[in-house]
Amino acid sequence: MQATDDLIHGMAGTAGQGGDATSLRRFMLIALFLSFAAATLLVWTLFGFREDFAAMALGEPFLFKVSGAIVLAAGAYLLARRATLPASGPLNAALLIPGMLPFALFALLDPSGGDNLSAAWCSADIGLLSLPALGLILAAMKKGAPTNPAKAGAVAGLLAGSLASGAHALACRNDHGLSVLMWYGLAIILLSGLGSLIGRRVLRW
Amino acid sequence: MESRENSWAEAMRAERRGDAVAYQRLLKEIADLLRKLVRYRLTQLGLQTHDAEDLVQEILIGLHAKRHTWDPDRPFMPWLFAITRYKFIDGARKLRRESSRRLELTFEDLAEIAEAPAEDLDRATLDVERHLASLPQGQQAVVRALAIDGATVKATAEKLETSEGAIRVTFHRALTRLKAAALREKE
Repeated sequence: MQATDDLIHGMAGTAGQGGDATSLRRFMLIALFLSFAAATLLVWTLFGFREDFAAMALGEPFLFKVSGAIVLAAGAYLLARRATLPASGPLNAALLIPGMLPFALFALLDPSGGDNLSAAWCSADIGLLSLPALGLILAAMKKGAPTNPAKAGAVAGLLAGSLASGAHALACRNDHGLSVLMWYGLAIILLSGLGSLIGRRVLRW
Repeated sequence: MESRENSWAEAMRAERRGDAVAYQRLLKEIADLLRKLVRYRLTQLGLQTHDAEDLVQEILIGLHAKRHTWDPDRPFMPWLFAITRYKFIDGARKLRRESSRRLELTFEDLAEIAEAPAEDLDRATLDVERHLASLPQGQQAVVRALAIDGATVKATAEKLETSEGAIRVTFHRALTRLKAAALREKE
């Protein structure tokens, strides 16, 4: 009891020096933009943007890929914020559905099916691109108080994977709906698993 | 009467403005609540409550370190309980690991205790003290900590500034010696 009172007295002495939730959210937003910038920079240096960039940017496949990645990242970001701030809302997987729709539509509307196996490299590339993002996002979340480190890590992996997918679309030569759904999906799911494994260790406090 | 939610949320806002007095009062009130909660939950889980105060302190430290994650636009109590639940589960897991490492009584020991006549209890306590006194200083300290105070091997090792292995060895030697002394007495 005495020790607890001493502890409380010591902690009360630093009142007002703890920061606030607004600056934490701002910090996470900065991490989000830096993550996307890092992934884009990596795409540019490692693979280069597509030569037919201007024509591609107006084409349907690119629009499906990019809109899916952006909406998925937005959902994942909301989840990441909830996972970082205790009691700020449930980790509702339904938030990810809007981001899946463009990919699903693309797969349905594009009958070509296409060249599936060579596109498997897409998954590996997205995984590589997302590593700096995963590190940045986990570092930002660590400033918060994730009350379920494994789930918070999974969300971080999901967010990093979505951002990397968006960046990858700038270089991606695979314009077949089904294989994009398959390989982008696989990459994001694996990253989520990796994030969960890392998160349960590094996000503890 | 003002609800706890309102008064505690108000105290948290006061903390943001650097009001140490209000914050200290808040932490004390929370500590009182946590004490009850932690004891109750530890009992429910079948764990000893003598480490409850340590756990209360860990929860308070977590709350203090992460107080910036409470958003003043949101209710305070759910946030407090989310933090408490997380730190409690973490702490209870540690306690459980420690208690499983605690030296277990064998079935024979338990049978002996159960069969000992109750009226002899006072004499038995005296006997324990007398036999303990016959042990060397180091062994006395270890037996007292482990068998009488019920401390963990780890805690005892830390207190006596030695390794857990050394504590186990010392305890074993002391028991052998005590057993021999008891046998001599019977004859």
